[in-house]
Amino acid sequence: MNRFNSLEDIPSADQFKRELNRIRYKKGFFKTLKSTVSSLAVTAAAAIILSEVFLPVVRVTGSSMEPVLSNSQIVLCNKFRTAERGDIIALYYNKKLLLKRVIAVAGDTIDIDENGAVKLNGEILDEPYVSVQALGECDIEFPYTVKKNRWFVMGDNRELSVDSRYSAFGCVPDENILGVVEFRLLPFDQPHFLEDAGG
Amino acid sequence: MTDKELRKAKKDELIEMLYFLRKEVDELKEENTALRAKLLIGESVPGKDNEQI
Repeated sequence: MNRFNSLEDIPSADQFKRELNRIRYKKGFFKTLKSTVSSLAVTAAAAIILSEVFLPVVRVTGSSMEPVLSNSQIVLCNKFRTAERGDIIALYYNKKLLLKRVIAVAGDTIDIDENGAVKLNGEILDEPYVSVQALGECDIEFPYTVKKNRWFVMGDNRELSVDSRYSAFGCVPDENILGVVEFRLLPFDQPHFLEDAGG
Repeated sequence: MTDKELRKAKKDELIEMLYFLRKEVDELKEENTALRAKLLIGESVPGKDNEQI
């Protein structure tokens, strides 16, 4: 037996219209939701690719770069800029990612006295980013000449930092450098460009 | 509309079809009622021509 035997069994035009509007609203809602979710997914994927390939994001661990960079801060590195003297770089050491400042490049001669004052190629280095000068963990002989394709790096916290002054750490080879730290992402209340922070 | 188009029609398209069919049925029903009424009036008035029907 058929369920619809007369015109009265069939919904009215108004009922059809209401149901049509409801279905179209639902369809539109899911379409918007789908496009929003896919846009977010694409943006997140693009951000991850950008971060991995061009601008790696690094979290600061430890206090060797204080006072310029502190523990838990988030910084952005540039993989495509060659580091210069005074730049902070992210480098791999024993499978760990560290942040240090480039003090001398290949061919430079460096000398550090017992008070921690640094002489680069015979001239005293002006280091406004260092709060307390100290010789720190140091067992290399001065004057020290940086070899080819190597970078002499030090942490801004001279007392605590273990860096190129220590022979087991040594100068950093080119291939261990991840990139030059350009920008502080977090926290928001501190200068984002490291030049503004004395870096 | 082809058989293939009908098979592929979505729920909202089918309801839209039913909506327009129902609307047309309602209009035809109203028109039919009006015409029936006119016909009855023509039959009840003696000597009047049924030319309008």
